[in-house]
Order: sequence, then structure tokens, then C-alpha cells
Amino acid sequence: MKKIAVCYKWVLSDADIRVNEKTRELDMEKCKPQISEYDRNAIECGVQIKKAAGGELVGMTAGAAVTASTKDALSRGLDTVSFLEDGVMKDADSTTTSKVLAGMIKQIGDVDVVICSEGSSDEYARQTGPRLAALLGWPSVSYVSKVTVSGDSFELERKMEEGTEVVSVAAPVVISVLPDVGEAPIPGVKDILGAKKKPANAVSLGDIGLSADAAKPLTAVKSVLAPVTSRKNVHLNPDGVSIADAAAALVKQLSADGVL
Amino acid sequence: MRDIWIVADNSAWADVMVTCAKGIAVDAEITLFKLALPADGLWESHAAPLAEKAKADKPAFILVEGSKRGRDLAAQVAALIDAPLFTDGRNIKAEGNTVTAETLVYGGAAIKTVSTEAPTVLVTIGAKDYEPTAGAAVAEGSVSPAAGPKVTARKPRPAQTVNLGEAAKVVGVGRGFSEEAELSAARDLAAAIGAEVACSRPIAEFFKWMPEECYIGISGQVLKPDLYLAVGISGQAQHVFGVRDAKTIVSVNKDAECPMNQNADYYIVGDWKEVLPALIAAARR
Amino acid sequence: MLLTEDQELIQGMVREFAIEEVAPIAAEIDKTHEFPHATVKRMAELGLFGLTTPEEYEGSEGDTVSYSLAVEELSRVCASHGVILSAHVSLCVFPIFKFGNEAQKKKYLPDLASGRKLGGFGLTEAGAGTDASAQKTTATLQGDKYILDGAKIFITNGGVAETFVVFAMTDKAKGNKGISAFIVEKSFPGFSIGQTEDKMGICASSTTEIIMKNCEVPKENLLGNEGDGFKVAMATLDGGRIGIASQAVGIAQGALDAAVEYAKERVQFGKPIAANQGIQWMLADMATRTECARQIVRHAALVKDSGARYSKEAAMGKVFAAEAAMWVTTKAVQVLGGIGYTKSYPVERYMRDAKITEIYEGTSEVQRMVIAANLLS
Repeated sequence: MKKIAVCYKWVLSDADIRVNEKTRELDMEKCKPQISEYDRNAIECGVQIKKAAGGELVGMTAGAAVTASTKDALSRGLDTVSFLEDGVMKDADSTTTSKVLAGMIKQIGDVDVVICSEGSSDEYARQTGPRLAALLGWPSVSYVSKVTVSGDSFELERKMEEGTEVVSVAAPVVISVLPDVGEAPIPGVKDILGAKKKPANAVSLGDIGLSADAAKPLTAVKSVLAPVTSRKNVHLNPDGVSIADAAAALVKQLSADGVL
Repeated sequence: MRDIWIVADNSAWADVMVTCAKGIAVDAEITLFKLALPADGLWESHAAPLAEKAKADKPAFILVEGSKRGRDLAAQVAALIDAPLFTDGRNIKAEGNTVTAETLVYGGAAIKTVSTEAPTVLVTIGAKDYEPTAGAAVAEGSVSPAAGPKVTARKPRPAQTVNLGEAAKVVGVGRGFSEEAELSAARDLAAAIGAEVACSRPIAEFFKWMPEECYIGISGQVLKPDLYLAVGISGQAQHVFGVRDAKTIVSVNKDAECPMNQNADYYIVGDWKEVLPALIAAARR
Repeated sequence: MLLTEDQELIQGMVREFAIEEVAPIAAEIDKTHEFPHATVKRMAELGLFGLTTPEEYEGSEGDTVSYSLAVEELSRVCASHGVILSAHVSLCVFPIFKFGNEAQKKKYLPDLASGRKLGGFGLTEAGAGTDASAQKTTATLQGDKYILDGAKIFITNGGVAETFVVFAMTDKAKGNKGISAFIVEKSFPGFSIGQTEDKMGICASSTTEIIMKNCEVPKENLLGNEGDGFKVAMATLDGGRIGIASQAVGIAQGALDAAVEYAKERVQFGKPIAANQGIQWMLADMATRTECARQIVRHAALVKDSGARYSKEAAMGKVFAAEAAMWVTTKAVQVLGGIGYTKSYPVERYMRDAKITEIYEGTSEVQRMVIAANLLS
């Protein structure tokens, strides 16, 4: 392998999202940025491929504020990171993201395989990998649960709804992987402190020959709102009501509703 | 009059998408591309030929089945014709040159409404999002797959003993259970009320107490039962998404404030060890 | 103080490890008093035992602030894990690194920094706690060996460590200046582990007696010169204070987190108890004390890293953080009320764990002596 590229996204963790009860708007203020969970598995997949077949393991990311992500990414086994930080990414949709990443991959050259996760924890659009493949003119193999590499060829197991599909493909290829490909280990102190010795290369739209206009999103966001919970939310055993009584009341109610 | 393409590998998917298409434009001119799974190639190898045709014919919409293959193919076509794609898009509205749709973000915690002015719009459609319209009269389109990666084997999953998708009643188990043996209490309840048993993702993926096809969630089973009874499930957005369209949701959890209780129609705050026997007794009466 | 990027990453890593791998066993090992070999091995894999040791000795390097963060994050989940790390790094690795000669460092540090072997510190005796100079353990030079005789008590990691820094009298006539320090291996003839203490808290930490009966210690294992022992002990304890203070901060934070979560959920009189100003003020005070403790401890770590004298700051950090931990954990049990007194919730464990921080590695009284001496000298 010459170069193995792994794409990762710097997202806001959804663990601390608050919802404004009245407006249903999301308050992301307490949410910390992190590498999207499944992207960590994708990076680990890259580490495994590098172990088996050699090559340089390059992390790639694009976003409005991603400089802070590079050390974290480099502590997970990457050799280098290329990152594009630009305001155009603020409203990026899958179209923008894939065009930018494709440009970055073309620019570094000699990439044999691009690894993406199935989808990011925030949008979960699950488009980036296949879009990248189409833009690069390479095959896309998605929902990969197992990777075996020999020389410049891959045997990939896909986890499909009806079973496993085993695919044989030669580099270059874009693979979108499931977390099954490998558990991402917690980085040790040496990995963390060693990250600063590895290169993090800033890349601009100009470097990859993409104008802001060519990269602009095809979609606009009208709103992002928590759904109105239309559930009845009846607490059957408030203070004083026994479990036995609550159970009986529940069964009675469900029968009346016609669902039991 | 809008040209709407439907891309599916079987009639079941096609029938669901016909309903969606008619919902977008009641007078839609629908063309169905029922593409067969190549014997030793990827279904997604139809992407480039489909994109070629789309560039020529410029349909207003290309609806693709919301399966794994469908999502991959749809994204490739979208990139090749430089069009937007809404994954699991719902509430698709076409007004003049603007198309709006809803997608789910943050693991199902929020609904994103997006719009586009693009001339061709792709959407992958969820299997349960529309009732199927059987036998609709539609035009037929076809493309042949391009050369691509070789499929060297297909290994079917062992036959599912349950079809959760068809179950009217489902009992879900979560991390409120500390050992596999404890699941028998939930199975007893399921038997008493005539329900199937499913679980949250960690129970299948991490603890492996139940097969993977039993976990409910945004990346697992999405069900529409009459009754979903969650036991010991905290109710993360990703899980709740899997039963958001259930007719009635019941939750049993000792954490009063947990999202599963808050997202239920009826909930009992308590330890399942106490509640399940009481429910079984009540159900048997 | 604000953390550097590296420090934040290390903090995040230890937090993730603690939550994912230590939290699930914390209550159980407190009950069984079982030493957590598996998670301690993972700590070694993550490089925690090598924090502050240079790479040339297989250390993972890292500064004192990072080490303080690691102990704090572990202790937030399990105080036993916190002291297992702290005793090893501060009380065994540090004195060998600071006072050892090159041969000793090469021989002992790699195994300790990598975590292949655990370390302990043998100073306290039945008759010599705060009064460390009342040592009765003797070390007599006989040919090319020192023969050590005596027993040390309350040794953290006693039952699992293989390398100990042990103190003994080489010259009774000289009092404090007659104490020497030695590197003692568990395998040396005449060395044995005595009884294991059954403690109020930090129950999964192995605390034992170590007994030396005609224990043969090669003379190359003298740490520093004869008579340097007291100096070595005091310098070591200064650093150890930062470790224990960090443990106390972690315990306080863990208790505070549990109290806040409970207060939001527990409904009485139709509303969560967190809606009551009385509870709000308690939580506010608990949080303030914890944060102040954290900042003085981190400051002491920073001063140590700068190369300047840090005894006063370390002592301030230790006494303040330990007393804060005791106060915060007691209040946490109070917030949870009746259920907080039971083992259904971790706050009673945090309270039991907190008490020792006011005592070991220099009681709060000793810390005050150190601070006063600094002020009045």
C-alpha cells in the first residue's frame, strides 16, 4: 500500500444536547466536540490495514473548526493528518463534504484506499463514502464488517440485511466500514504525547482547486427541531399506588386501547 | 407533471415507493427500475448507468429503496449527477422549484427540515414509511450494471425464527437486566401477552444475549407494532427511533426520569423484578 | 489554571478508561476487597505507571499536572485505583528516579514505569508514624550486603508490589541523620509480607505489613548515601502529597456528581429536591470547595514542574483537598438521605474512601506544621 486515507468528522457529542421545551430548538452549548464515534473504528481499520500491508496512514477531515481535532486524531495511530478548515464547511451538506474530501484525496495523491465509517453520529446521512467513490471514479464497497488485504487487493465482507456478501476488489477503492471492523482502543499516554511529533497539514480550498462556489451545498437547512412527543406519558404508579395496582391498571388500559 | 423514478430490487420495495411517489405528486409519471441483483457483482454497479440515463432524462425525483444497497447506490448516483440526496427522507413536498423533506439527526433526537432548488432530487425511502400500493400501473425502465467489484460469495444469514417486523406486540429488554438468565422473566411476560422479544443494541451487539436481528434502533430493526413494552431500557434516541411509530409504548424502568419513560404512553417506575410478575399475573386474569 | 491540549487529551483518555473499564467493577471490589489486577494491567498498557518517567526508562513522560489529572480521574470513579497509581508513581518511582544512580535507575525504572512490576514505599512502623525518626528497623552492613531487620506497616500495594523503597537505621546515634533508604525486592532472602489490613475504605487497595528478618539487601541498593534517608523520605512525601491531594479531589468530584444527579431526580413534596434552595446551596458549597481544592493541587503540580520548591503548595493542596473531600462526601450522603447510607448508591463508599486522605502520606496536622514552618522560617 502506498497511502491509506481515513476520513473522520469532528462532531458535537450528542450526549449533552438540551431541548428548549417551548421552541423545540436544540441547545448544543454543553456539547463537546469529538471524533465521531464510528470514525474511530474506521481509523482502527486503517491501522490494521497498515499493519498488514504497509503504507502511510493519513487522516483527512474538513470542517469549519477542525484544527483542534488533529492531535486527538494523530493519537489514534495515524501517521499524518490533512485538514481543511474553512467557513464554507459550516453549512456543508454531503455534496460539499464529499467534493472537498475528494479534492483533498486527489491532491495528496498515491492513495490506494479511502476508509470512511458508515455514517457520522450527527447527520448519519451515510452518503460520504459512496459519494467519494463516485467523484474519484473508484468502486464503492459499503457496510464492510471485515477487511482482508493481500498486496493491492481486498477481500471485503459486507453485512447486508439478508446475510454476508463477500467482495473482491483491487485498489484504489473507497470502503465504508461498520464498527465491526475493529474496536477502537483507548490511546495511551505515549500515543497522546507522541501526536505532536506527527505532521498536521493544513489544506485550503485553493490548494485543492475547488472554489467556494463549486463547493457550495445543494441543500439549505430550514430547521432542526426536537420532535414533539406525542405520547400520553401517563405515570401509572405515582406516590401511593402499588405495583400490583399499576400493573392491573395497565393491562386494563391496554385492553381498552385494543393493543393487548 | 413530475417524472419520478423508483429504483428497487423487488416489488415489495417498489410498492412502498409508489405510494411515496403519488404522495409527492398525485399525477406523477412513475418509472420503475426493478434492478436484479447481479449473480457475481454488486447491485450498486447499476449506479453509473443509472446516472447516465438520469443526466439525459432529468427526472424530478429518483426514489431509491432505503436498504443498505439502496443508500450506497443512491449516494453514488447523486454524486455523479451532482444532486442532493435525502437519506430516509420523509414528508417530501414539491412546491414549484423547491423540494423540502425531513431527515433525522443526532441519532433520532431531532428532525431536520431541508430544502433544495436542485432539478433532480434523490431520496432513499424507509420500508415502513409508507403503506404499499400494489399493482400500480407504472412505466418500466432498465439499465444494465457496469463492470465493478466481484462478489465471490453470498452467505445467507441463518433463518430468523421470528419476524419482528410482523409482530403486533413486542417486549424489549435492555441493560436493566444484569445477566442473560434474567431475560427469562421478559420471555415469560412475552408469552403471557402473545408478544415477540426484542432488545436494545448493547444486549445484542455487546453482551450478545440475543441475535443481532433482534435489536431495535436506527441502525437495527425499525418496527411499527401495536404495542411496544420496554423493560429496563433507558431509551436513547437511537433506540426510541426504532419504535417511534408504535401505536402504544409502555415502559418499565426504575429511573423515573429516563428518556424511555418520558417517551412512553404509559410507564411504571419500578424494578422489573417486581413489575413483570405483577404484569404477568394481571395479564393472565 | 487552564490545561494544555496534551493535558486535556490525557485527562479525557483516563476519564474514558475509568468510566468504561473501572466504573463497572468499583462497587464490587470495594465489597470483595479484591485487588483489580485486570484494570491495573490496562493502566500499565495505557502508560499511566510511566507518567513523569522519561522515555529512556520506558516511561511515557508527561508532566506532574498530567499525573495529577490521571489520579483525579481514576479516583472520581474508584479511589482504590487512584492510590494504586499514586503510591506506585510518587512513592516508589520518584525516589529511585531522583536519588538513584544510573545503575539503579536502569535496573529498576523500566519495570516500574512500564507497570510490569508494581512499587511500594516502606517508611511507617508501628511506633513511627508522624514521628518518622522513631524508626526501629535497622540496616547493618555486612560485607557486600546490608542486613535489614524490622517491620513496616500500612504499605500500599504491599501484597502486589515487587519493588519497595524501604527506610532503616544505619546509625542509631545520629537520629534523623542516621536513616538510610534502600531499594528492596520482594524476592530478597528474609523479606516477607505480613498481615493484610482490613480497612474502612480504599478496600481494593492492598495494604499490608512487610517484614524483614535478616533480609539481605545488596549494598548497591543503598539509595543515595548513608544518612540521606530522611531527606529522601521527605522529598518523596512532598510529591506524594500531590498524588493524594489529586485523589481527594477526584473523590469529592465523584460524590458531587452523584449528589447533583440524585437531587435532580428525587421528588418530594411534588418537586425535585434540587428545587429547594437549601439543597442548592449545599451543592454550590460542595462544588466550590472541590474546585478550589482542584486549583491549588494543580498549582502545586505546576510549581513542581517548574523546578521550584513546592513543599508549601503541596502541603496546602493536601490538607485542603483532603478536608474538602471529607466534607463534600459527608454532604453527599446527606443529600441522598436514607438511600445514600446504603450501598445502593456509591456515596457512602466515597465517604469511607475520603477519610484516609486526611491521614496517610502526612496527616492534616503534619501538613499544617509544614505550612507554618514555611511561613515562619
